[in-house]
Amino acid sequence: MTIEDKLRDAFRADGESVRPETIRPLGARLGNHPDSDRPLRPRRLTIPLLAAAGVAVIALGASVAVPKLLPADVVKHRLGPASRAASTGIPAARFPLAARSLAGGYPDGRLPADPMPRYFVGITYPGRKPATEYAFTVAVYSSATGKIVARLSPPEPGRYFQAVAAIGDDNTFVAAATPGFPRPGDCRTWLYEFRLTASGTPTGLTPLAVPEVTGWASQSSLAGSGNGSLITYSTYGCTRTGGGSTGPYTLGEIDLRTRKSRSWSNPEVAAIRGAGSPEDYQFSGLPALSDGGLFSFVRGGNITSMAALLVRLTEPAVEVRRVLTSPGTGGVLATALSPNARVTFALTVRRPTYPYTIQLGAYDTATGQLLRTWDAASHQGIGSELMTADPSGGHLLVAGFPDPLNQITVVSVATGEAATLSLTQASMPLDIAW
Amino acid sequence: MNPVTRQWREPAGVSAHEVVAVSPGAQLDAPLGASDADDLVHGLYREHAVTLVRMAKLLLRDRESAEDAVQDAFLGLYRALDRLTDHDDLTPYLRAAVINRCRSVLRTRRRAMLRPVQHEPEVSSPESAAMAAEERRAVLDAVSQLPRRAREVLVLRYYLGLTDEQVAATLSVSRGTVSSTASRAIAALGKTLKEDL
Repeated sequence: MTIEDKLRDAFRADGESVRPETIRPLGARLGNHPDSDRPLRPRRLTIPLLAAAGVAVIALGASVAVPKLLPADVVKHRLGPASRAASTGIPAARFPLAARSLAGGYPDGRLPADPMPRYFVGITYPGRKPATEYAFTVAVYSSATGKIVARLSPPEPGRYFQAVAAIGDDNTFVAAATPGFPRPGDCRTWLYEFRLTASGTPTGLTPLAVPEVTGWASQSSLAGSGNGSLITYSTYGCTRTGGGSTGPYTLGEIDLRTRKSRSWSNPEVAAIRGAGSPEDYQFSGLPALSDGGLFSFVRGGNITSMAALLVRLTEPAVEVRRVLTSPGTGGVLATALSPNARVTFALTVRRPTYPYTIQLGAYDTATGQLLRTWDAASHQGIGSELMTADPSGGHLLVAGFPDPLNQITVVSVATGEAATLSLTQASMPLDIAW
Repeated sequence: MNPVTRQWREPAGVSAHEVVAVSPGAQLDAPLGASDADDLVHGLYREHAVTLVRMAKLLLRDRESAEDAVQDAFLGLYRALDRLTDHDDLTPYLRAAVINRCRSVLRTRRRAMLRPVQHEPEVSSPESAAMAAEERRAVLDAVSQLPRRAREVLVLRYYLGLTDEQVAATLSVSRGTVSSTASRAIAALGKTLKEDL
């Protein structure tokens, strides 16, 4: 039997495991589906359009007029998520105050003018190993060209890098590694620290002397604070047959000054990306952590209800505030925070069908107000879920944007310039840090 | 590798929540009514869903995700009907849409894809029980280790039985790319299977 015949045979047999009678009906997913925003006939749109326009005008009027009419503290409670958070008993003062402008989201009300770091790092899968072996390595990229200038191999056989985060400055990073093959009893994550030299060479890879992290880390599951004091991570538990993307989920925080850690098992916000059923909340991990210990999450029960959340690790339960909800199908893809968390950068889907439109927006964390925006058309689909800010918060790195397969965009928050770097598909990172 | 530069723009003074109220896809010239579109898409679903789910499952190695991808593709088709000019043959569009969604799923769950997959066949039918045969399992495992494009080419070529021209059109690549990708993939499979079996 030739290879082609073996393929046909294997494909046919695998295909037959999907029985026609077991396929879910399309049913109500069309006209009655809440996301079925298919354009209708003009006459059927007349009233809804007028109504929508009316709502938009009223809302626009309110957002412009209210700040002029009411004192600042009243405004804070009249606008969006802040009032909801206050009403649920979350102490508003512990979450960031309104930025009111992009510069207001930065220390001293000034946008950082620091140059972008020369290098960023990512986790890559070169794919050159034998089929049964996986080699996730740390790659060092030039921020100017996107070219990989150095690689860092896993510290020992059987450990594979999964996530990376900057900690303290643009030269120091923490990487999470897991066993290559999930096995019961081997359900843990190792944390390592390394630095970049001036020429971008990774050096000094050492295990981080912190309490053992249980569970498996996945991409975007690690974040470090800019002041170098905190690491947060999320992991998922291992099933009897190996890894698995179902619980128990763990959310953890490590204080690098005291080397103490605390963790939350199955907290409301701790499910990791890829959780299976639509009923499960899904999160894109911990893309950003502010110096104040606040971190941002993307959450969604399904692709139509994604939200960017700001989370504060408190005991016994974490506190959550919604920053923005996705405008539609596709959802919030990724978030990043300014250093004081007053500005949340979010990547959202504006148009979920061809030609896809993805929007990078800067939002006032406290009010959800859009402060800056940048739309990009993508002809390749939607897939980017990686975004990170440099230590000053002055530059954003967005992987898979606007082309999810092989582009990275570098955005200067201060000047608004965005530079798109084209990478080969093999060099596209699975996680990034700057 | 010269970067392309663009510029941010100021929003038009609306908040994030107001953006929700404005549908960016709203178009006023719709040739099909809602019920016509429902009938058309439901008919296509009855005709093609099983094949597309099977194709997606081969790419994703996960039944639930495969069904999600296909459902999303049909929902996308429903929304896009008014922009599509040829309603008589929407199969290529659906194939490409499912593959695009599979790519998104793979990127989202790349961590899971790169993990060795425990391919557990359903044992409730004779066909799936037969799937437990070591050779078929080895073939599917070997395919799952190939680069994304190679997997897509093989599935379209050897499962759907498409010609190289049709594969090229579905994947938006040249026919030569399809041929060379398939050749390399077959060679790689031959080597892997020889080592494994």
